[in-house]
Amino acid sequence: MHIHKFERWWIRISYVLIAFFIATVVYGFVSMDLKVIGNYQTIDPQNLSETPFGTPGVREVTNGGVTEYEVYVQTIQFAFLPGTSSPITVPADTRITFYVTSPDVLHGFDVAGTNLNTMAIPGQVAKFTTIFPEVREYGIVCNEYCGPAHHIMEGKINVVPKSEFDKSNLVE
Amino acid sequence: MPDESSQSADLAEYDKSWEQRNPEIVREITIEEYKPVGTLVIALIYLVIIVVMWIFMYFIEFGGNAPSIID
Repeated sequence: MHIHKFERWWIRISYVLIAFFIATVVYGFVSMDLKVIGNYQTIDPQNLSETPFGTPGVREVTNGGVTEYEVYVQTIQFAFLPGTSSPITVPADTRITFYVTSPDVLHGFDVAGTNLNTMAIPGQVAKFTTIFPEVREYGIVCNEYCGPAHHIMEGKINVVPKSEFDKSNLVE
Repeated sequence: MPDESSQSADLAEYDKSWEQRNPEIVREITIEEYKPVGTLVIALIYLVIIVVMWIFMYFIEFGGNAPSIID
């Protein structure tokens, strides 16, 4: 089949474009250190009380001499525990690792306006680490339909300056 | 219902080449002589817009929008 010269050019450019898109995604995950949530571990959703999820909240951990925080969050119909009745308070410029699971149905854990977004699946623990660069309040929304009051399921993350972080509210 | 004569006239027309049916054509060019530069320019502009929007969306809106998942 005869293909016109111009047409051959833009077919070639389309292939270059596809290669460019793939290259940028590879570059993002190799050099920009972008990550996605993988499968971390499974858990018995009926017995969360025997796990750190039984006392959800912010914990202090030391990793290689550096203070970091772990946040255990239960997503329930129709609240984040913690997050809804009291905000999740974490310091800025510190590594924060979230562990999210659900004892009842499928929920979402989406920190609105950011790239932090995971499903909360009964029986699965979603784990992700982040650093909040600025002091501000973030909203958390459930973005998986979880029941009749799904639309009011929301919470808050309160990022405070490192120096003003109150450790008295940490859980053991 | 179409009559016989018009049907055969249609058939006679159908047997002619495109050039025979269009005698006012003065110059014929080959496919390689045909240069749709305008189409090429539009296609290139379109591809440039896609590349610029992709760079903006991926590197600035997605990659540069901290907090991101780092581990």
